[in-house]
Amino acid sequence: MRPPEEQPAGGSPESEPEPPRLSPALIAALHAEHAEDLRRFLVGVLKNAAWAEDAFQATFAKAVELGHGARPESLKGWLFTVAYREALQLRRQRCSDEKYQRQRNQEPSEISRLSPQPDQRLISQEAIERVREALKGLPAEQREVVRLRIYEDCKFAEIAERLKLPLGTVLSRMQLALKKLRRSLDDESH
Amino acid sequence: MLEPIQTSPAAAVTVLNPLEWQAFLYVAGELAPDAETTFEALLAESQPAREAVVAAVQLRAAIAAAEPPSAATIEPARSSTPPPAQRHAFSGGLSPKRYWTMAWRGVLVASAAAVVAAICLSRTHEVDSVPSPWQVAANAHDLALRWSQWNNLTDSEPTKNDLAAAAPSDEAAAGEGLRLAPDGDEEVAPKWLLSAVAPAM
Repeated sequence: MRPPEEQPAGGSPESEPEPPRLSPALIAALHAEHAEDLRRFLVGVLKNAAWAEDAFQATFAKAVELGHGARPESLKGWLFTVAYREALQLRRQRCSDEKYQRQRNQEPSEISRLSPQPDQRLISQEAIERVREALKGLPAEQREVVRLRIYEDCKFAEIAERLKLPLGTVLSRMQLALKKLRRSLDDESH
Repeated sequence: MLEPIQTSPAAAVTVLNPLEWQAFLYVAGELAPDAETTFEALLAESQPAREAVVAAVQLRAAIAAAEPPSAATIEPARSSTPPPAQRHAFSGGLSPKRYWTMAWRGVLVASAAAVVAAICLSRTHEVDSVPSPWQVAANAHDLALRWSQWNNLTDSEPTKNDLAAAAPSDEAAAGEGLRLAPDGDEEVAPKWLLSAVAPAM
């Protein structure tokens, strides 16, 4: 904080001193490092890409205003905490709005709508290719569960009914498939 | 109505990391309301839980974007079918069976209305239209027949008074272009009758 006597000539002596803020360089670095994950997190919580973007903007506005209060070593955790609070606040606000509620009920899941033009901020083309290859390598019964759950947007209980299988069998097939597909994504990062 | 899955990390099959599985179910909207509340409480304070959500969204988005062509070839009709919410939006919130029943009723009512309208139109057309050649011919023959009957009647009782009473006067007939045949020439049809009959003969 700059003392009053150090203010530049011509400035009003009554004007408030500028509050301390994170430097633009630090904000840019935070954005570069965490923006993708923050967006994914917000989409996961809100299940709506437009709302997630609003919450994302609000999170970084808070980071500019209040980020200086966080310890540098825990800035990532602080950013996610702020993002989560912003998401909950936005969801409460929008869910009380009947118009938004109707719109949300009519739209299919935001995440499932990412196909065939995926949001490049959520997933890279290379990752998509890896997962595509991994999908081909799945046993047919696991691939069928994945197809019904992700592409057909069927609930697990509905899948169990359609395939005439116990729910536990469907869940374990999905978990086995996810484990293999997850590994294909992890291979990308290593 | 399908119920959300009542899962907890302990109850789930331990193929995946329980936190990863829980996060996947959360992102997919498959958690029961109680489990969802519990998981969101965890999200408020646990960075690993938040990162599990990040990973679940990333994985789900990658799978969604990587839809293999074989998925479309196995069941082409299904893959092109919109999700239930969209299907119901398309049919105005009606079930498919109810929707098609209503649609067929609409088609039947519209067809019946079209037939009735066509009948009414054709009748109106008949009243307003110019007489057809067949109608003109029928009228001319009728006129000739009546004149013939009248002429026979005057042959049997040739009184000028009857003729004058039954037919318009010479002046009136001349004014309208009609002219009776002269006396002693009753076998010849009058010109007005010939001209009326001529188009049909």
